[in-house]
Amino acid sequence: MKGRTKLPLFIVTTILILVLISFGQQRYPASALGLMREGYSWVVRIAEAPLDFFSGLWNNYIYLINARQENAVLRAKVRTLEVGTMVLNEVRAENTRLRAMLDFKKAYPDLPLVPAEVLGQDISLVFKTLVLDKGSTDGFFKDMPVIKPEGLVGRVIAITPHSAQVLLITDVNSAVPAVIESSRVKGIVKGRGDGSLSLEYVKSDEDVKVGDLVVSSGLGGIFPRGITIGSVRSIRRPPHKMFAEILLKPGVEIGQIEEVFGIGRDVAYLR
Amino acid sequence: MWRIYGSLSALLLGIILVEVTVVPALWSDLRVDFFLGLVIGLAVYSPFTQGFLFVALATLPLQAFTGARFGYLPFAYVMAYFLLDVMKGLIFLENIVVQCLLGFFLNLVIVEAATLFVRMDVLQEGWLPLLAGAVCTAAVSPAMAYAVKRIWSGYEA
Repeated sequence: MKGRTKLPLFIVTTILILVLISFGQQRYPASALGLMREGYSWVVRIAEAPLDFFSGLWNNYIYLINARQENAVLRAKVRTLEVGTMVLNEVRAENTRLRAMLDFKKAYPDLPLVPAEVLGQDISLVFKTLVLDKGSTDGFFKDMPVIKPEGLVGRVIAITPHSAQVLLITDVNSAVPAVIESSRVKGIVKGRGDGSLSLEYVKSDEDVKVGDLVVSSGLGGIFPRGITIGSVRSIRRPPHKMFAEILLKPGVEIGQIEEVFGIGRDVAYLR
Repeated sequence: MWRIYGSLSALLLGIILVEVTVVPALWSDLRVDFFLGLVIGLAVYSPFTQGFLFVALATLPLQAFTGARFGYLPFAYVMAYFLLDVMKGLIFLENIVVQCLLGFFLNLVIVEAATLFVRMDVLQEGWLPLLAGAVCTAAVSPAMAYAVKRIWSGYEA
């Protein structure tokens, strides 16, 4: 392509993209992008199917034939035990996580909790979202709060029949109305993008201490009241400023999320 | 042409799988930009119009897997493609070291540019995963570019 025609193409493309960005005030045009996530959830399911098949074939047939050959078994025994230990450790860790989730569900039998697993994370370092393996057919819906037994994870921002995209509370675009549990001081918890949170719009002279637990206030109508968000990690009260600079440590270890719960509709209080 | 686009699309699917599921499973804060290597490869080894069309269209499925404002990814990668096309006349971009350096610096620029849309200083708040991601992107960029070269030359031959 000649340089003469590249320049107009460059200008037209730049204008088109800027128009696209400026008109894209609704940040998640879900329908078209949702198709991609829906397709992706099926690709992962299909990719796992042959692995399950060959795993079953190995465990139920080939391994049993080999088991009859004593020498081979003895040679393989150490390796098998090592692998077995590794698998058991993973199963134990998974068991612990699932038991915690089960205990949580038992503790709140009236809450409509929908379990889901994490399929993937955001491709960008700056933005923090998750893709879940459950969608609208499983009871998930847009703006559904997503939690773990340790606390709030985020909310669903886009949904397809079999997948959901969750905006994590640590994302810079996330804002959760919150209250300090002990002193009932209200504020807005915002993500900082680096895995930590800040509690904003709290006056410098308010009663806030390091270690205070911060929970959702229920204002705004998206998150039920009383979900643990995190605890106060540090407080700065700059002179001549109206609001304190409060940093929080999230209750949930955001980088290690594997299973979550979505909270069904019409839940006003968690506790 | 459709066979080339088909192969590139398959490569793109692989990239999405690795970027969304595999890399975060290794290190939750690490993000490796395999797609940037693809863009470099297209800028270097494909005719301008065909490469441009694929880059512009391929950013749309990627947009489904990020919380970034709609339009940011097309903006970032199309601008990178234009920049590479201009640089092609100035620097020998087929050199592996040059592709590594391009992968490193363009990755930093694209991540930092994303922060223009949000209130965040990524250099201050997450420089280690940012640096690790840029180094990994630099390492995979020549490989991705080579894959594009093989696809293009294979079908054209």
